[in-house]
Amino acid sequence: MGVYSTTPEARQPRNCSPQCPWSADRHDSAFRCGASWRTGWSCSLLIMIVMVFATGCSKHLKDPANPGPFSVSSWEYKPDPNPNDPLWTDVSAYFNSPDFRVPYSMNHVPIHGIVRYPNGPGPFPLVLIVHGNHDPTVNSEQGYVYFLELLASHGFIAVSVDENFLNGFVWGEMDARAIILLRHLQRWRTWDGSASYPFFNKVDLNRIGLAGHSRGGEAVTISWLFNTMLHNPMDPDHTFGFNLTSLFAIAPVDGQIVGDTNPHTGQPYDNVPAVLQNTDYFVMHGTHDGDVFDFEGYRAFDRAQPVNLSGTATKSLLWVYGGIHNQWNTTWGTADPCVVQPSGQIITAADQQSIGKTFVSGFFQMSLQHKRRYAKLLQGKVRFPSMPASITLMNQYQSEDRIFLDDYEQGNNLATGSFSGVTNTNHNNLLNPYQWYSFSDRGNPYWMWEETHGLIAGWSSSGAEYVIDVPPGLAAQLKDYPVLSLRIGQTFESTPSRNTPGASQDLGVVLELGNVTTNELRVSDFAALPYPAKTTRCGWDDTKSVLQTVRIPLRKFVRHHPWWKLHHLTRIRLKFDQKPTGLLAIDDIQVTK
Amino acid sequence: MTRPGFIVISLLFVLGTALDSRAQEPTATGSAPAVHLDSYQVVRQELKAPARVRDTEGREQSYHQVYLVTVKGTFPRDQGLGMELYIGDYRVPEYGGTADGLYFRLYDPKLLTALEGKEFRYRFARAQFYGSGVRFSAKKAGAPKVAPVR
Repeated sequence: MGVYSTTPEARQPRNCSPQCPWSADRHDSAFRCGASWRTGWSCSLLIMIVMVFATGCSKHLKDPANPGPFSVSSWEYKPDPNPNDPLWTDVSAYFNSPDFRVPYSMNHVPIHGIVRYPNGPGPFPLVLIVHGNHDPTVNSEQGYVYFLELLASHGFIAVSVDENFLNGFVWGEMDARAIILLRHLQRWRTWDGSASYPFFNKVDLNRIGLAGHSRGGEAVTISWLFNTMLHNPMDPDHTFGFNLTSLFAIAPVDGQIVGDTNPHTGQPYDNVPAVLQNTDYFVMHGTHDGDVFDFEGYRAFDRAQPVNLSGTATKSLLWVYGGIHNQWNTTWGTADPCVVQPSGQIITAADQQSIGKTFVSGFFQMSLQHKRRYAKLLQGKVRFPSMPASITLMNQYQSEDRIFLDDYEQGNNLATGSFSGVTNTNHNNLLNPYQWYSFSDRGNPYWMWEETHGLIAGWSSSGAEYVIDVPPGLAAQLKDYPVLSLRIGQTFESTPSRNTPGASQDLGVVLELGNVTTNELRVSDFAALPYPAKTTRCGWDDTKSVLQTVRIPLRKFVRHHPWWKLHHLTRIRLKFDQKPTGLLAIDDIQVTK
Repeated sequence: MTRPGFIVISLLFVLGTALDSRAQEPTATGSAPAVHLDSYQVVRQELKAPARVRDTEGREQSYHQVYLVTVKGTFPRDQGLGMELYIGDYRVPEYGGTADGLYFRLYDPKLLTALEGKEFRYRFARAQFYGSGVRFSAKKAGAPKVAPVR
């Protein structure tokens, strides 16, 4: 057995009190809280109230970037020199061309992780974090200790995995990165299952999350693939079958697995699509990423939870204005390989890492601890002090429970919606352009970097409308799908014409409920639609038009009108009457939870 | 990367400015980091143990020797973004860095024949290809000889 160093670092929780300092959705008073709790008595009282009343304070969200209630201890595992130590492993079948600075042969690489864990009986959910590609002489795994400590304080066993031996000027190692993660999980399963190990019965193997940065961000997806579709039960090394329910990708790459060959099947990975299902997925990326400049995680996000399958898990995306690539890791410095301009918009490492903490913690609390109220964070409905107000954040979120009205994946006939009986109309033909479009031009004319299709809609008349006619079969389901959701965003224009640089865009939405036309609600009251951040990388324009999920509770339309019934819904009208001109990209119009 | 006892079947090809990778200019988007291939060599190595690798027709074969290709040049190193390396339409499935470039292995002798005269190409982020101006050849070196010890 390898070396296990345990250094108790008992940390008392600094914030057991559920303060509520965020600015909540101004329309949703249920998520407002002005209370401040400063004493232990107050804390205890609140906990009692929470226990007694399932509602009320259960909706009070703590800033997830603040330490949680658990004291935290440290641990580290790595192999000893004995070649038979099970903490040595062989990945040479997957990759055998290490960088010259790597001191290991690929048939003898370490299973090495640094751990922060909560003090308590457990069992605790397990989260593995893995770095991406960098100088292999740098201990990249040390760069996420700030995540580990936070997660452990919230009740997770958190591990940062050393894959530095796969780093350097290398290509074709993505499957090895993924396999190493699963080999770590195999060790954790052993440690949880044997009384001779300190983590005996302390690991909740039904709640496992993976997080990865850069190439590690794709590695978590490929781990999921190996764990499910690529599982080879005939191979004793492939005893996976883990319950990977949560994946968190930080500025990930995408598609590096393509072209490599699965040594177990002899088949190229080209034919195995990395389409995530049955696992919550989150992607965050910065506008000023000077390494993975093309926002590759956006494509993985688009593919995840595909539209033609029933939803079983969430997917979320965070687009951070001014965020760069390397600052997510505290050992990678504060500059990317290429500095994206205007560099004056780059946010500080402290701010970037604070945002990262918020979402890492909030996501895993939502997904692994089933604190579903943190979906509000992923939806962009709440903003905590750990998220500096000066930094623009765009969110996309899709619930596991959704019905698509328009996902635009059935072809270029814009008149026909995705749900049977849904039809769309460009009212009076005032939308121009009115165009079914592949959101992947990566430049002119719309600067889209996705892997999906949608609608491009422009207007210069306040009478322009996009009208969605809804069949009774859909209206009848609104009781269970009470939110109208759509992804929408301004498109960048090389020569500004319809949108105004620096200014947010807006539009209105009304419903027709039989003979009743509701009041118009403004999208801007639910989410901002900021102008795209214009950026150049190494002299090349890599500006991106990124969408924002707008979620409008349908009850907002019928508030104060109890005789208006949502199940009478016949039509949804997007009215482009809030700004004189505009150019928007629209996708994934759905009713959802 | 070479060791005593290896056989050189192709000498170092020193390439001049005519092989500058800037021969193909990038388009306005998806710009490529700076890449310049200076030279390459192909060395045949005898393997201590046979390698089980699939041949160009997809059949698993046992190879007792390997052709080690080392390429010298300027490349973006240690990045998240990956550089896909091609010779003609053949995608090099994996490579690793050396102090002054990269190396990769070819096992199937038929592949050497198929790649003869094909250009080294590369791309980033699955965007457009760039030609290096350097063409692969395992024939130009003449008779095999023992590689120098490094």
